[in-house]
Amino acid sequence: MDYSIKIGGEAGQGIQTIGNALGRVFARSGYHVFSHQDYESRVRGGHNFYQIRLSNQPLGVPGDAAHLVVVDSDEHDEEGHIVEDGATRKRMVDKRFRKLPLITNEIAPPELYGDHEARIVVVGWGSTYGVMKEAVDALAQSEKIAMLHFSEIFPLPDRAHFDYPAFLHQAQLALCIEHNATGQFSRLLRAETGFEFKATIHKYDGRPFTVEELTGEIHGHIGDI
Amino acid sequence: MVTLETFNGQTPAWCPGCGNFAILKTFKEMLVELQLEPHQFTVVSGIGQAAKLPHYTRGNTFNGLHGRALPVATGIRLANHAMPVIVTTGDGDCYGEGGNHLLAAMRRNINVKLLVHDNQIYGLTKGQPSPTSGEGTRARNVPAGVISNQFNPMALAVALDCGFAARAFAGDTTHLKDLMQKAMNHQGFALIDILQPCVTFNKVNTYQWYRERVYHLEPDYNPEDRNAAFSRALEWGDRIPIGVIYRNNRPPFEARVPMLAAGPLVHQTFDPSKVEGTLQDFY
Repeated sequence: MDYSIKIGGEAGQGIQTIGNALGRVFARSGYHVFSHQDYESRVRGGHNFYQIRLSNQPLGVPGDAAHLVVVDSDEHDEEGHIVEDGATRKRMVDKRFRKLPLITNEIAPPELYGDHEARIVVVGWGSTYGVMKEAVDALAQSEKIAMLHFSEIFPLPDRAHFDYPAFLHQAQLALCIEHNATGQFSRLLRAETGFEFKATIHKYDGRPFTVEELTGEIHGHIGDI
Repeated sequence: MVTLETFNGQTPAWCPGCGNFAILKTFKEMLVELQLEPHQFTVVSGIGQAAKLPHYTRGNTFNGLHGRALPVATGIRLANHAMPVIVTTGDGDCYGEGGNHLLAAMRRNINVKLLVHDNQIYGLTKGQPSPTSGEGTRARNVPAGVISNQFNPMALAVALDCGFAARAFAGDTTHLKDLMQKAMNHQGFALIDILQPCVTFNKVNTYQWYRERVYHLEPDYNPEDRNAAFSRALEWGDRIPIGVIYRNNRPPFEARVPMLAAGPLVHQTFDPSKVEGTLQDFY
């Protein structure tokens, strides 16, 4: 028996706590456990992973047997040694791209929160989740409004499960909210799906949106309809 | 039985006449003399011509990011301090990109053997000046000449009380092999700065240039005299000393980490009952 479990999520959602607890449970249950976690400089937001490998057999390490562990950061052959010829390089790139449909299949669809027949849709990704949700709550009394939040953005989620471009086309006003100056996500969405936002809200002074601020900005755009 | 053939790897993609061939051959001979089998040690490298060495031999290998060989090597040693760990790197990768990791490794005195193939140039990327290029070195990307001071790894090593610091010359392989063995036997961090011509991109520091300048440290030279070592470390130009410049008996990092006293971490049994007390504090 040999399982690997990967726990992923937004920083602050308790990924480490869950990973730690699960690792301890497995260890206490007598399994051999190897776990590691991301250590990245993510003060606010962003994804983190915690990986646990467990087995009922001891996990081998380099040096225990005559087998070699060879790791290379470039294209490499079956033994792990570097290769630089064009044909292998192309084969390896093709191999990696064959994984793309499988990865797309595993990408979470965007989360729809609020009115499912929304007239106004605010779209965002990553760390704006909380503030967008609160802004939608604040405006829900007077507007048919919803939030569409992407937690995984590349490759974009498969449209077979949820046709989010169609949902956006049906809205009277779709707003893309981003913490950058150039609207990277709205441009990605346009490049990949053809959907173009009529308006965007960007904040790039190094500070997060406040609910009041975002609500005010959205309100201003509603007035323009 | 370990023989030279045991360590046959890929055919090197180095230029004919490159100093790396002599270093690779000496490295393999050293492994044969120590009778180390390929699975019994790990070679870690970053990026550069020297960093390709692990592919041209056989052993556990981690060829990772530019300048980041030492952090990986440190991790391997902490996980399994029964496993000899050797880093093969160049002057650019180690003294340039990996500068701070070198400082940390020297300060910690982690028991890693660091072989720096020092050809005073970035060879893989076709001849840009590296930290050890002399002031005024001209290159296609620096036509007016380098205006930074030349980096002196030996002086740095002495200043940081590095466990073992030696300088070698790729054209003197008997001497190099002796230094490699001394480094392997040293209980702590060991740096060998190996002067090595780049026959394609460095037309100044040639075999002949080094041959005219290098000399063996005298038999009565005491590498444990730090002040004397610093004077020798500063020698460069007409005369360049090779041999063990500096050495001390600082305990290695592994000996100072209490959790490792019971043996290599990877071979310690994990007994959850030992941590029950601590766990109770949290649950």
